[in-house]
Amino acid sequence: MNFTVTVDDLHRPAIQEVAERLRSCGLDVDRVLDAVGMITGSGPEDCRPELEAVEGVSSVDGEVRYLLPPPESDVQ
Amino acid sequence: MIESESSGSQSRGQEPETTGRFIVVFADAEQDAPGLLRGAAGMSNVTDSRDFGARAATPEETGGADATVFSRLGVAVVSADPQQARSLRASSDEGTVISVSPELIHHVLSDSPGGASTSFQDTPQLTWGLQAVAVDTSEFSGKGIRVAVLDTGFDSSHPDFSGRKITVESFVPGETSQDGHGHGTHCIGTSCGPRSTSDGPAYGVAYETEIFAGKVLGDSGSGSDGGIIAGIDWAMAHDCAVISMSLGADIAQVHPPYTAVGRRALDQGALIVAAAGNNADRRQGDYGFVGAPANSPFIMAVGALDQQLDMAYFSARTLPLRGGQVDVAGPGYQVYSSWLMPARYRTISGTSMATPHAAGIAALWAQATGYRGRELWSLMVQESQRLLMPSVDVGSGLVMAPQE
Repeated sequence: MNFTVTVDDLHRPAIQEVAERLRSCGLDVDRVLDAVGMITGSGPEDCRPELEAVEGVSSVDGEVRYLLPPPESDVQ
Repeated sequence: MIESESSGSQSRGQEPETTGRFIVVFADAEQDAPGLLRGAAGMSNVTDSRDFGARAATPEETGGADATVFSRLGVAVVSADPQQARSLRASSDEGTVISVSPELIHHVLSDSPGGASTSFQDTPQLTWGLQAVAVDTSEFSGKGIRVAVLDTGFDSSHPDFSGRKITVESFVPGETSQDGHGHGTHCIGTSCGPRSTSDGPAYGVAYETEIFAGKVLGDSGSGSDGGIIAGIDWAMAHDCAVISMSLGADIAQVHPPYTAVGRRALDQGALIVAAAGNNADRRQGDYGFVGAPANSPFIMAVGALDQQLDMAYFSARTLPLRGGQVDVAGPGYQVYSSWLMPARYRTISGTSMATPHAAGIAALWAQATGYRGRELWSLMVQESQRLLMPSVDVGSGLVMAPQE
């Protein structure tokens, strides 16, 4: 499943190292986002507790999906 | 003055009631206001509120005076004859007095702001939404401000945007930034589109902004956190002062990543505005709730108004959680804007359409004041036009363009 990892404020300058630690816990890192201090990626659902325990991680959240109505809809 | 033609009882040409006295506002640098009144206007009996210390200067104690000076405010109430008033006005030429105005009689406000009900409509010159937020009397255009619209991309072939500086990027795997839905092009039109077109009304609020069109929703209209957060990161890396997101999921709880993202964006001078959501059906007594990401505490949630400045029937109500409130409202019913070629234009409704009105207005204020982040948020809320509706629906009211 897809995860959004929030890096805590203290570890934002070392976000690449946090990403490395997440990789070693089984996260297939998609993006390391410096400006917002977030890391996105995917991995098996059961690795979530391990990801949450990584030093520098504030939270790990499952991905939410968003869907617009179709183009022909009057309300969008 | 920000006032629609029918917005209130004071706007219909009534002469205000006055007392015959005058309110004098002194320049900030003026150190001796009592001395000025004695010298310039020849007043002998001048009371200074400083003489009362922390006590209130009551009418009983000041009633016999020609003038009462409130030094901490730099203001005086004076009983001046016409000659004395002219002398004081002449002092404004010397820079010591800012204004001399008749003292008004104030009344307890009645329950209703009164008068005929408002109703806007599109004209050949301007959409109703642009009229409602008073861009036609604003001198600001968003010039120098970067606005990111994170949506279904942008139709780069649209002729109304030729000559505009537009940076595009796709965060949807396997799709280019070209808009294959129409929603993104519509939202970019409202927030940043042109103020004059060859055909039909002008529809763009901040018409000289630099546009960053990030595609975070695919041509099918779907997207996910990964792409949206990457789009926000991209917008921040490009110093966009305003990030407009006409998207949401009907989730009745705060989605944690957007709390961090919204706060960090504000810290770095970017204001994120997002659609409150269309999950209400007020015709059926269903008020809905503000979904994610607009329900995050540091993301400004925008509700939708119709041409009468009533709530649009679909516009979601405040979610009773921290951050879950509707913060402001914007025009979001039957909104005319750009659409995919060859259709070129389309009129649609939604909090998705209210959001880019608010984003464009934020860009105008950013240009007008230089404010960013939290200061910009505060200003938007402060300057909104209050509406006679529940705050859980409209927040602080209708976003309004800066006028001076």
